[in-house]
Amino acid sequence: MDLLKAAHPPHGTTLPETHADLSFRAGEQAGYLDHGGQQLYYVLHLPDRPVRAMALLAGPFASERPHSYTSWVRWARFLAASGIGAMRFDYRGVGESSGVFEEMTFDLWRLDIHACAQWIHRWFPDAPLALHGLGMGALLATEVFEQGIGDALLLWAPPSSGREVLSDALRRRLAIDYVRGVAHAGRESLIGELQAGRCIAVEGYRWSPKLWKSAEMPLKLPNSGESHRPWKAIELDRTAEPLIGSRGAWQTSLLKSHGKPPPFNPPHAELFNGSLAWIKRNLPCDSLETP
Amino acid sequence: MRKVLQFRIRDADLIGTYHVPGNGAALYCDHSPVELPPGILLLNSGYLPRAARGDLSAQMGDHLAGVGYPVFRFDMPGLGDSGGELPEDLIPFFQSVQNGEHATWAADLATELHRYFGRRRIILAGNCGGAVTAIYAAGLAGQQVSGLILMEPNFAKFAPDTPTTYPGVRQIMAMRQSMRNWLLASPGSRHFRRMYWRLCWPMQEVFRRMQSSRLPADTNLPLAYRWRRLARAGLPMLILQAGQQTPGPVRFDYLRHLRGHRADRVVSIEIADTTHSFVEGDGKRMVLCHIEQWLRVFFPLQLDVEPQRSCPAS
Repeated sequence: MDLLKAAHPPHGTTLPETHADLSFRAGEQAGYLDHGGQQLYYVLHLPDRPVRAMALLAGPFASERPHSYTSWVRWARFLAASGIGAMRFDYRGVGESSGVFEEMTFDLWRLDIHACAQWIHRWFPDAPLALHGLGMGALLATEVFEQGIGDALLLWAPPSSGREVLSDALRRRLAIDYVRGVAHAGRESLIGELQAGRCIAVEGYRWSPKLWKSAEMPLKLPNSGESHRPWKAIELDRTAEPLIGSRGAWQTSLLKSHGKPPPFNPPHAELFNGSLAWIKRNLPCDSLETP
Repeated sequence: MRKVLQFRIRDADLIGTYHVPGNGAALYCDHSPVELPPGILLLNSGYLPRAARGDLSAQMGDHLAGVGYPVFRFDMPGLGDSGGELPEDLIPFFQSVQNGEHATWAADLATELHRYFGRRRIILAGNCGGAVTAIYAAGLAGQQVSGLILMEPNFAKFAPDTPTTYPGVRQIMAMRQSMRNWLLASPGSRHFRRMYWRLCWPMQEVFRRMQSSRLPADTNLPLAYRWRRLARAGLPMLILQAGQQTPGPVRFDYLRHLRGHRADRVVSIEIADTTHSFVEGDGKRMVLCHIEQWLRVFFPLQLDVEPQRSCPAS
């Protein structure tokens, strides 16, 4: 056993100051970006060969994060093993990033994607960048892509709007209230609380009225005719269950009462291989010289 | 403030978060003139990453560090950001946790944290599977572990559904369950729910009092006996349990059975109006309050530090 204290830059790049006291494990590096006065947690997955392309992974909504995490990490490792560097992160106020959830909005989380994209561009300036989002991350990544960031956009299970993301979570809260047998408020009354300027608690997070308001954001897929940059949206079905988050967890509990629970760590071979092939086909990796 | 930590233990790279305490002093000091406050090592809840559901563990880390206790949260092998393999299915994973397979990593981690962070004592903490690992690891780690915080420890073995001799019985049970759920969930179910509680709650209490002399057949005996040994050895323990809110089969009261009369340093608290993960209702706030109060009683801060804040407001 040994504590790894030696930080060294991945593949010849120079690490920024925020890495100074981090340890480095071959291929994976966790750390924080200083962003908006908070610590934005990220993990960088680098291939064991020169980085020819990067993917920025924007994860799902907070309450879906715990259940999809294993598959999300597996996807990042799969990309790195296939020669594409991947960076994943936690939005401010969620998971390993600092900040108060109650103060967060969809717009602030969109800025988190911006910050990570800038960081990648700074340290891997020659690597083409694929933006990849899951659930809420797909919605936010689309917005960022529309602002000219990224060379390709891959979406898994994009919602029609931010409201759809929150409505899913509200539905889960109501279901849990029913099962607990507590006096429950209806969906409309919970939304009424938010509209009246009061916070509500959903799956361990305090939602603020401004979060609800910011979720009005609709999904605006790039116009294929106008966009020169490739994009693709993939709907996920039940075979991708852990990736579709707590929706999956709810199904798990139902299935558990009727037999064998579904796998929590499936290989997702078809989804991963198909997505990787699309990224490789659509990123201009070939123009990069191998050092 | 948070920092990322990484330890290589038994060929697995374990990634964790260190919540730097408000005082921030004497962290790496080997020969502190005063006894340093213990560090709290939080373990994964089941297969969830180290922040846990609703980020409860992450918030616990921030809160306790603000009060003055350093907190470490680590992902066990294969979980969260740590390296290592995981099975595809939940059942073998749960069974491996219940057999204590994470305990050697947790115990070694406690030893390393003890060594690197000023020889401070370590309190192992976890929810559900994390509590199970903490019990096993406390037995392995020895003197540097000086307390346990166990949230919803599960002393029953997780077993896949075993086929019954009579397939019809299973079908009837499933129908009964779905009918109950439907009645409880349907609009206007208030009357049914009230009736259910009026009838079932006293019956559950009767069953609870009757269960006295024998452990259930599905008890995880190695775990139960380890826990009893630690309790009787006087290891301070805080046990937090979610009050049984959901109408359902009565739970066996393992703690009452195992505790006996020789475990006076075990504090057991039931938190009402919450769930297994302590995220619903007022669970989060109550968990933070009870843990802070327990720490102040059993492991008072000796450094001259003003706590940054006390129990969080609701």
